[in-house]
Amino acid sequence: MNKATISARDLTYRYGDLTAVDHINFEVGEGEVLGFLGPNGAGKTTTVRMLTGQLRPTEGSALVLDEDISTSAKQVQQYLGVSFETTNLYEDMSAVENLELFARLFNLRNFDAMELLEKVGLSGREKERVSNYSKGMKQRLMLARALINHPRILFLDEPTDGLDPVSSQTIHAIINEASAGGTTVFLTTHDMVEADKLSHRVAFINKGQIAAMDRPAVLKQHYGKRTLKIEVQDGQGGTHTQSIPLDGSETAKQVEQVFASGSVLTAHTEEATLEDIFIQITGRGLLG
Amino acid sequence: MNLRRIAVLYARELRASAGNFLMIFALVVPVVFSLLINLVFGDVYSGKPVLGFYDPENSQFAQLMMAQTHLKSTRYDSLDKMISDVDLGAIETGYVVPQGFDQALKDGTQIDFTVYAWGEASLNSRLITDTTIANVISQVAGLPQTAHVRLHPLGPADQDSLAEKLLPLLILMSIMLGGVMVPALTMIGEKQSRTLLALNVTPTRLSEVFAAKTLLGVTMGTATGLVTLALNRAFGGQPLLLVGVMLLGSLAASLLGTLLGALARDMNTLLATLKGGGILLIGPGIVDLIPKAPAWIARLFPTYYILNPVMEIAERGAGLGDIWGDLLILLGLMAVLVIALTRIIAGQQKRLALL
Repeated sequence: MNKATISARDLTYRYGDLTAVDHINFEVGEGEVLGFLGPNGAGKTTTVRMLTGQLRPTEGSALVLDEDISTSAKQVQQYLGVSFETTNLYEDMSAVENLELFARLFNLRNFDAMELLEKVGLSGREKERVSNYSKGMKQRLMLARALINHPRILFLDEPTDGLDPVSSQTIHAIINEASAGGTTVFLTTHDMVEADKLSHRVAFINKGQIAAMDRPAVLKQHYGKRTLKIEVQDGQGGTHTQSIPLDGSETAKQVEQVFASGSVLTAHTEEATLEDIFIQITGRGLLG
Repeated sequence: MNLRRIAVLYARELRASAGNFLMIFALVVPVVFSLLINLVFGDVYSGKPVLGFYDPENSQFAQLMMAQTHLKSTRYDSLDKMISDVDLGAIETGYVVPQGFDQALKDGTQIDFTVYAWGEASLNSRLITDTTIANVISQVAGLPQTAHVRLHPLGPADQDSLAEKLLPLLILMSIMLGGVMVPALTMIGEKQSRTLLALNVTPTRLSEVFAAKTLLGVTMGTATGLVTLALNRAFGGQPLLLVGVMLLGSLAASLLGTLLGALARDMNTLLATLKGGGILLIGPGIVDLIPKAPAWIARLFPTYYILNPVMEIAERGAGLGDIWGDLLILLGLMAVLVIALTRIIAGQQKRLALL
């Protein structure tokens, strides 16, 4: 991992008697994409709010760009980009006006709104009021707004939730490009496929605690079961599927027997998904 | 606080206000009220005092009076018709020029001069007319004030016209709608659209957002207040002092509006609060409308200390020396609002994050 840009130490937040985030520890490196996964109410958003300086931790601390975020929020926010799950744009303004307003608040000189809008695929409709935009367009505009200040850390909360495939792909490309340019991306999502595709590492958060955190491949290797699925034709003209664990002691023998029957139609390996692993670790699904 | 960011946010607020229905409503209502009241009672568009002359001799006095461009004069052939028009308010003052009036003026002999005045004629009109008469008499006679003017008030005997009695309420409504409603509404709007959250993760401080909204309220409150005064021709003799006091009053109103906007959860809560507590805001203006209501009742309302200095300057030509006591109390109230707002900002940071 490159030099850490985010470092959480026993980070805790309580809403009265409810502990939303419970002594979590982790680091995220420069240019790394961290997928922060968990069901609703697991503590994802509260963690993001603490890391972006919106909430002061009840206990513990978070160093963001080497500064304690709870005491230096405004200095650090100069280098952060945040895209929210819920749309929060000035809908009475155009896309250009929205971006220019925030550019002025960041005191950016020579800011080119059109360049960013082209990047997120909104050029051509830049002068239209945002209230006329579709959900996908608004989401892309929020991402553009988060990129205004060339952030060193980008916090994205469900950036592709409910979007069409084209909008999702645009956002994925931007995330990859930002990461390649050295920007740390803290990606909060329900979408395990998206997390698997984009993240260098993923963290599973459940009931305020980090249940597991590693590279997707490592998690799959550690928790997942590799299986060989073979579709076989039976004697009555029908088909049935046989699953053979690849890591079993009898695997070779079982595979040999099936293929020897001469009635194999298809055979393919199957590995566990992040969702399977999440359920396995936490005992609950992502939507639960 | 960063002044540049406050200016950026203020510019955005001004621009957004221009297209917002509720803002337009808040700004337009007092102006429309002023126009309606003045159209009904003829104070604004009549502009000039409206006079009538019953003068069978076609005196030089009446001719000179009718030549005055700042008066709108009509000559009557029938005395009864003129009195009837005064009674109805069609003309504000009717003059019965006695026979040999010009000569009496020149000779310096005293002569009775009968004037019929409409009871609801504005004080301004009466003053303008009286002064003009004195000037014309001097012109005709070459001597000052030799004529004795006997005034016969007709119609309701109130000293102030209804328009004049409504003026304090209109002024207060202007300042309150512009100063309190506008910042409160924009604050709620930002909370409901969650744009405040977006601002909160930039270097922008919440105090800067609050300051921009307060400035917007000051601008709107002052602008609508001054327009209302102008429409009612109640600028008084010290316009600069009036603008200064209006700015101070609007600032107090705007601090209250920002505070309400910060505290209210949503638009419904805000509107319910204003509906319930609105009487506290415009109370002094309502007390003025109640006949024989003791003046001290108005002093119990905090907004009295915004309204009274304005009215003292606008209507009675008061100077700073006459209103400093009220202004001190107003500054004290503003200090309380600023302290409350500072505390709210600290708490608001957390409430915002939980939206």
